[in-house]
Amino acid sequence: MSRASTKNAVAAYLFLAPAILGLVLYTFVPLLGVAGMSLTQWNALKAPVFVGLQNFKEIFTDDMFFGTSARSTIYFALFTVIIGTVYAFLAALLLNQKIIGRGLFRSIFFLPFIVPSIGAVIVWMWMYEANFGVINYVLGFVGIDKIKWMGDELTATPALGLMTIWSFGNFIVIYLAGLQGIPRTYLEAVEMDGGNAWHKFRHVTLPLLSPVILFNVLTSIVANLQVFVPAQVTRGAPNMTTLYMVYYIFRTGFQNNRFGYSAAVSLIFFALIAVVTAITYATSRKWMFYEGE
Amino acid sequence: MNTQNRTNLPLSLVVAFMGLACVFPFYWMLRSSFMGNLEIYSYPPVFFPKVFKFENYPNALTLFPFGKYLVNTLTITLPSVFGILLTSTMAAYALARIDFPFKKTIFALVLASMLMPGTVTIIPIFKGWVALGFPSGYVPLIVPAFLGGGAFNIFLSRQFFMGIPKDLDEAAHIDGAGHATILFRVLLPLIKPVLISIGLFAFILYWNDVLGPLIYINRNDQNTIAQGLANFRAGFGTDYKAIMAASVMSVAPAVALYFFGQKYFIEGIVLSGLKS
Amino acid sequence: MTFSKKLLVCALMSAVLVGIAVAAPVEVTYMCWYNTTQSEAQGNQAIIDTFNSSQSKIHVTMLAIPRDGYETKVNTMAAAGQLPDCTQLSEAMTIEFAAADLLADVGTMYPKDAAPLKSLTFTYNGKPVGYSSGNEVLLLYYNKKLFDAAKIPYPPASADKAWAWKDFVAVAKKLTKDKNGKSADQAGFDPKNVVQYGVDFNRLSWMWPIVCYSNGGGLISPDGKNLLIDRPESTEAMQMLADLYLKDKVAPSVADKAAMPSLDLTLLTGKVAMATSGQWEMGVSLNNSLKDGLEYGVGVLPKMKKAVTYNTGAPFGIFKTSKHLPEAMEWIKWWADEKNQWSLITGGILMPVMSKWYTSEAAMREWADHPPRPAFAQYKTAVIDYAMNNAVQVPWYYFNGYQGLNDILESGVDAVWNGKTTAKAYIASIMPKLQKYFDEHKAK
Repeated sequence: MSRASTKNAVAAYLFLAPAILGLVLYTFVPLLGVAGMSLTQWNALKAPVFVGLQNFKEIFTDDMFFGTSARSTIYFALFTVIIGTVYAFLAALLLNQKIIGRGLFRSIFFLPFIVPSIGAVIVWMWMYEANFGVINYVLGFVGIDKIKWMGDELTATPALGLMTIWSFGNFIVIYLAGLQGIPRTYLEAVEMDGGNAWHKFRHVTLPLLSPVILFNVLTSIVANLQVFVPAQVTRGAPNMTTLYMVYYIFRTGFQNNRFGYSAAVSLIFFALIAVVTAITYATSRKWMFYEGE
Repeated sequence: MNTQNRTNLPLSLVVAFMGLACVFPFYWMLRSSFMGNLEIYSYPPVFFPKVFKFENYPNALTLFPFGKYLVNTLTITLPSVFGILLTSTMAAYALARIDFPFKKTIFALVLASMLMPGTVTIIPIFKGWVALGFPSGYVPLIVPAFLGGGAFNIFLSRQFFMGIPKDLDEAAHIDGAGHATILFRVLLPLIKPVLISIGLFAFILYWNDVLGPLIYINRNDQNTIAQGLANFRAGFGTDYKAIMAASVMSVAPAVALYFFGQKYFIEGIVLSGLKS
Repeated sequence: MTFSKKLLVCALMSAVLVGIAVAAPVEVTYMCWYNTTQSEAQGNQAIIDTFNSSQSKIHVTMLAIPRDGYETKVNTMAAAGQLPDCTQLSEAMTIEFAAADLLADVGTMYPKDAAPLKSLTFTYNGKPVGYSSGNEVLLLYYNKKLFDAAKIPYPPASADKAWAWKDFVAVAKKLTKDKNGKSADQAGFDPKNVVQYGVDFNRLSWMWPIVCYSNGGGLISPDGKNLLIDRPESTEAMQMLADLYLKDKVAPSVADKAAMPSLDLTLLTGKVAMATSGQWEMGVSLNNSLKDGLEYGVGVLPKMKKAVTYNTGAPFGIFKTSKHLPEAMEWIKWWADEKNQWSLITGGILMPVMSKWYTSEAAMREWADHPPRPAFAQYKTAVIDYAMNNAVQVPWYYFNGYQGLNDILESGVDAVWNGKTTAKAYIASIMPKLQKYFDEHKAK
């Protein structure tokens, strides 16, 4: 190795030192830690006791909350991301038309994104309120009976999902920028072939934006599987249907003092995220539109 | 894509309706913050307070020390944003501009760690801080920002460094500049939009974080705005006028920041969403 | 400076230092929660300041934690080996801390004749490990105006006159109104559009099992040896409670209840005519609506077979890990003294813990005869006598692992309240798990 390249390597590792330290101390070692703790019974008040795979056995055979929690977490994430993506894309398409006050509306659609989720939960829970809430009041005008929203097992997760989608303004902005980046010539080519708006959308817009959509869908699925604040506020009500995974992990560990068990749930949750992400990615060919012209 | 040059009125109405739905929660928060509890609980709902109860704010402030929370939040957020910007661009620079052994391996590890959800490891990390003698306080909340600043941010800055011609570095190098000078004097000014975007996102992330303070902050006088608001809500249960006033105060700084830096926000989001 | 002068300075300085060390008070950290407001924490701080300035031996430092994350914080501090000297504990976690051998024996804290009420003692392995810092019981509150309007006499205010369950349901029916003004006992009543419920009988997880005791069953036997929740009397009582909504149509559903505001507002706005909750509501909730015209009264719970209520109260804990046990104990003793938290007691939040406050009418009047509490005559029989003669302890006073038991019990209980299953079937379905957990945790 020449002196210059040694010097370069030293410089590179100096520059990378914080990041490597972070990778080791904040990702790999803790991951090993989770694995180790998952094999113990540890209530934080006494020393941990090695119990082998007992925690995992209990999770799959004897845990009253894990199944519900996993299902409702996946439900929440898929509901939010699928409907949210459609909403964001639709809003972006609308904002890309010649409409009045486009700049203003772009700001308005974006604004909810920056609201702290705890603030969002507070005001939405209040609007969802079954007896005095404004949403039921407005729905009353179109003849819809009072919905229990956060009080009903069927509607609680979709209600929290809608609230989350409200804050999807960042995706609207991203898709809008993507739309604006589509070269006019591509669209004009479709027109010259006698294509209508749908053809343009289907054969130019969608294929060109597919990679962007896929990337944003993947990241937001991972992010929304880790939903915490709404569950912290509802504490899982009604009937554990909003006991989302991260809150369950938190509750089992930090509130119920079962840190070993909680670590085992974390590990399974990690696997779950990996599987959901992999499935989303693997099936993306089916629901994405890559065959552009 | 509309070939006509006239504004599209029906679509404008649709957008206006959706926009109304978007701002409505803000409005509802605001109007409730000026009402008495009886008016808040009246049905059908009152859309405009009969009498504005401005005293809700000073009243809420006696119970929700916003100023203190604001200082606490900034105490955590500002150094963290700095740490993220500094260490992520350092790592990105090495990965993009320097050749060194095991570069590919390290880059692969960075990418792999992007997939790992942060919440999985909260318990061992907490144990680690306990072992180091920091079971509570700001240290465990700020230090991680100085450890690479997150894989995604490294990745994003790296992508942008890759797009800058290497001639620039070489010219600076011939002038006698070291790597630090090249990074901080030559390259960073060129990727300012990325830095602003990373900074703003980090800011929002830290500003809104609830789980971190929940674990590491023990004393109310050290609470952040988000955590203070969560506690306030949990404690007050149904005193919505006070909760709404506190919520308005908590949301206001983020909204103000947004209108102040709107251009950068939008630009940054577009960059991070499209270029990765 | 000469050497001898230096020596002299050194000697003087060490003398000063030693002097400081002798005079410096012992540091005791005390952790407590605040429910809603920081002013509550400030109130606690004021009490601590009074203590600190009243003597020079002990200096107490307060660690105020929001109530909502309190268990989390105590657990994390225990995990971190950073427990304070003494603390306010939540009821459900107390015995668990005792079982982990973290709580000091407080048996010697008080002389036998000047001790807190027996009903307020947390015991583990036969030893007292903590005393509630306030006395609380479950009661029946009501809005007087709604009774007046319906020309129905107020609920009984003494245990010997407690309503039988069916009489209670009959009254609740008269007080349940649909949007057309029909009550639940009238033909054409529309249960889908109720505007005023007769009763909100609290189904909060720790509160509802009181009906099982009233019916001759219970949750756990007072000796901590047997699970009672699967006794026929218990499941029958649970079903009767569920039927208030399902059959009698006089109570809100779980979802309706979740959307209701605090007790004072539900009564004030006429959402419900009667509601069960704890004594503390007088000082934390009902007091807030008196200025808006709320006129409330208090009575005893209706009975199934016997008139009974739960008593509870969050205790203090003194940690064995403390290096200043005697000082911590002295501080806690001072703090627990009613006179030092007088405003909480007269303000309606707590009832005293020491038996002497319950012995003479004069003593009782001294703390109870103030607003926001109702007229003394009513309060005396409906609350004080009720608490002294008819209360059983919530099992968290003696069972190690109440929270875990509660989690199992609550895991699917909404199905019972919503009528998707019966109380009997539900309890039977969770019984194997409940019994296993109970056997692992019961007193040996």
